[in-house]
Amino acid sequence: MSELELRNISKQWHEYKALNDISLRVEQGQFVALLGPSGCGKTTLLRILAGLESPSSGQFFLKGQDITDLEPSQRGISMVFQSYALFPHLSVNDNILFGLKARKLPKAEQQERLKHALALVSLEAHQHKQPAELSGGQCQRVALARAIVSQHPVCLMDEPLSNLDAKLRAQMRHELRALQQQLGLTVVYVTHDQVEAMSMADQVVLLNQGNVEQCGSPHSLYQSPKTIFAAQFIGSPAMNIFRCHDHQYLLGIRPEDLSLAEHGLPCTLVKMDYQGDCTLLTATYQEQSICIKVAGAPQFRLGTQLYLQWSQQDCHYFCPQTKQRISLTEKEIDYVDFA
Amino acid sequence: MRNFLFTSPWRRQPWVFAWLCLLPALTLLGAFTYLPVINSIFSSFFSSTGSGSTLYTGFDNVHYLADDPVFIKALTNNAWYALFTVPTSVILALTMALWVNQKLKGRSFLRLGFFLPTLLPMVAAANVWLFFYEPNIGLLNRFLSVFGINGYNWLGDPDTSLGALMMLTIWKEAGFFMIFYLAALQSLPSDLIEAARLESPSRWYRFRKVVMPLLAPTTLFVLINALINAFKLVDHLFILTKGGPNNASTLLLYYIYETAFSYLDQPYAATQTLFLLAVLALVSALQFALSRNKVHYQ
Ligand SMILES: Nc1ncnc2c1ncn2[C@@H]1O[C@H](COP(=O)(O)OP(=O)(O)OP(=O)(O)O)[C@@H](O)[C@H]1O
Ligand SMILES: [Mg+2]
Repeated sequence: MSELELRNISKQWHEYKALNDISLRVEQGQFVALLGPSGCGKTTLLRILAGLESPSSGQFFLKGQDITDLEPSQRGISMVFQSYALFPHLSVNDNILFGLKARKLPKAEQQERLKHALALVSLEAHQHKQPAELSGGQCQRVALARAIVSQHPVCLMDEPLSNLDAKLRAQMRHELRALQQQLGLTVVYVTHDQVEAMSMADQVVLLNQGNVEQCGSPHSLYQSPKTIFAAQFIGSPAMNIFRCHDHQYLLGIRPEDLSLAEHGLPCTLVKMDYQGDCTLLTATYQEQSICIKVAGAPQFRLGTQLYLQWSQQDCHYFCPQTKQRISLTEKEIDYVDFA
Repeated sequence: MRNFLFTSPWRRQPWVFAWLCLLPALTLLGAFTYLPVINSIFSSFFSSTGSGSTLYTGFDNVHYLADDPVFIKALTNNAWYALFTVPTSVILALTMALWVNQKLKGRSFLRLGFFLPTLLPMVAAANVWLFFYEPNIGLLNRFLSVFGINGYNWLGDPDTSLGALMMLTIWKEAGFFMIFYLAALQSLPSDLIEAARLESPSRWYRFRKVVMPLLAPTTLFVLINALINAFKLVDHLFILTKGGPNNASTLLLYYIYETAFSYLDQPYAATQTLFLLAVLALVSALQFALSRNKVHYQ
């Protein structure tokens, strides 16, 4: 039995379909990332899981029990908000204890859980402060502690790190993942940052315009994207997609899988974008633009003729009509006439 | 502007420029607020004689205050009046605001309905209520006659006249304060409310621990305004009871008006006014001090 199961969840606002028949299973202790571009319905889905929004149709099960119509506080689910949503009039301690007091837990138990939670997020030194006296990262930890202290088996997070600066974000990413594994929490984590999703999640759910585009491990999303959308969304910069001569296939190759050589596909360099650890080259071949990621800082002049090579195993093929991935046999691959 | 300030003669005497900027506000405040206050303080030390000239009497007017039974009556009346109308209208305002803040059918109609009394001038409202309280054809007695109670004179009975005034005040004030609460409720951060919904199963607990504290600045504002209004809104007395019968429903400001313009004793009225000012200032100061620790401003 799965920890969480969504069956055909749809959400519609008047004419607008925000979610379209979403079905999903999440196992106990998994870290699941909901990933997708802005407006694809990530927050909407998360709010439906939390009970803050009700689905137009479909069902939601927690440990096999239908909780679609339960109140948010009855579901055994906690949530970390993007804005932290700390109560500004309560101290750190009272913020963390809010839910326990509301549920009238025994005082001793409250204090014990509080101590534990404070230790987990290393906030002991700040427990008597007001939220206004905390830094962004500390607010984040309080929000986290408030979610942990309830000891609910499932925790939802809506872009919890997006208000932090890059360095702190990387650190919190690490801590969050460690905490999740230590407590065996099931986490559903919304993000539009693919690095976050790839580095933290056991399972990534890629959403596009209210549909599940692909669902799988970060590795499988990168290695074998099911659709052109998935191929171009995962990985930075986006995968190159070429039209083949006979228009039967689309060929996708990641910029990092292309290499420069003495001979190969000839193209003309039109742009160089130095990034520090690597350089992004943009070249054109028969009016198609190609992005190439090369290490270091090569010195080329614009307009230079470059020759590209790649290996067969890095090629992805897609159907031009359905935009779906197709796998070709050896014979068919030989037949693909790119040049 | 910077250039103008820093290159011209203003630079050497910036205070001239500052005073020029303050001048319009100072003139208005001075002419219509500070001067009259000083004048009141000054004139309270005098007593008017029949011939229209004044006589220095020192603190006699202050001593006289304590011995004036009508003044004492007006003061106690006003204390009861404030004690009853302020909490009632504020609680009513909050209740109505919570109600019309929900998603329900015809809520803009309801909001308008609650707010409508506020749009009426006090005198017009008092006229409406005059008909409401009228002993023979009034709506209230028509309704009561169904239960066999007939011809009761609400405004003419010393036991009920102050209460009848209170009802009108509550009716009029609650709608006004509801607007403040409604605006405050709608600007509450929705994620805080949602976080509370996730953590607390009890609606009452959420209201007590999250909504009320977040509304505290509004409550303070509304309380102070309600209290000040309880002392300074007496227009309805002119229409409904004229402070009667037998001063049963007189209020401080109304008595001050009578002293000044019916009995033509300006100096005594000035003393009473100063007393009223002192009471109001004290009450507001107390309220701010008490709420300093309770009110959280975001
Ligand atoms: N209350 C609402 N009424 C109508 N439409 C809504 C409502 N809430 C969201 N939507 C629409 O649903 C779609 C999905 O919104 P959602 O907030 O889930 O996006 P998101 O994936 O979280 O985007 P982002 O990454 O920008 O946060 C959007 O197109 C949005 O306009
Ligand atoms: Mg969102």
